[in-house]
Amino acid sequence: MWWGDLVGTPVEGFEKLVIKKRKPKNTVDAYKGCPLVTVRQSADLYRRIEGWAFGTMLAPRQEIRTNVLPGEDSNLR
Amino acid sequence: MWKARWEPYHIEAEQRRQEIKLGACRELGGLSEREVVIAGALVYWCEGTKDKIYRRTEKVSFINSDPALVVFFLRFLGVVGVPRDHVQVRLHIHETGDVEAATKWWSDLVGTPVERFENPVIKKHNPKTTRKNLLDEYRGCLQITIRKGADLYRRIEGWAYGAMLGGDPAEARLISRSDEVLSKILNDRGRQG
Repeated sequence: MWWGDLVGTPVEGFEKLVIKKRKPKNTVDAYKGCPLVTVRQSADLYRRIEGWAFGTMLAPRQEIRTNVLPGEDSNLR
Repeated sequence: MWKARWEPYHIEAEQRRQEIKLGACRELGGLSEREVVIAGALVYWCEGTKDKIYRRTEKVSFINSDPALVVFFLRFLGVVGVPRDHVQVRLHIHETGDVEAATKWWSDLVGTPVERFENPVIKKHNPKTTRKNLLDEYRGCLQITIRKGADLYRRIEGWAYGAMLGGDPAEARLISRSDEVLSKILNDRGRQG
């Protein structure tokens, strides 16, 4: 119900539940479980995500080396 | 026989997969600083250590085994102005791993001399799952912590919620840290729009 309200998917539109039997560690927050979002026919989307992810993570490499790390030529300050 | 029959199809399919990935990668081009901040904050929110309601820990601590993600997180730190001497790196590795070789490997990747690494954490547990996704050699995980990082932690939280929720819902979440407030605002917004 809570997740249905949040994401605007009617409760009837949910896939079957997965019930976990392990003892949870964190019981402080009002526990609501995790919603699993899957996308049908998503092989192409998966590949594009991989391309975007690596394009983001590994873009201009030179900059990374000189910019950030605890080395001598950092321009961080 | 089977191989001769199917190999051409497999090669073609693999090429198609690669083309889609490379196309997506190229369409991004370079990232602006703003984009690095947004992506970096979200990466931290997914993988970094987060403050808990039952345990106040406003520390920036990020640990990962994926070198690409580590390299990107360091770039993010550079963009948001973390002084180089506030960045600490530490290797976490299972006792069956090669500590020296792994330290050297991460050191080469991130450009921090081996002697500047913090003492490694050696894991002694028996892993329950047998992961099969270890394509590369096992090199453990690199942990990156930021000294005097409480303010940075708070900024990351602000950027992350700003990016995820924007405007009022983000502010409501940051102020109340309550999901109920958030879902009410999102609901109201949904009804208006």
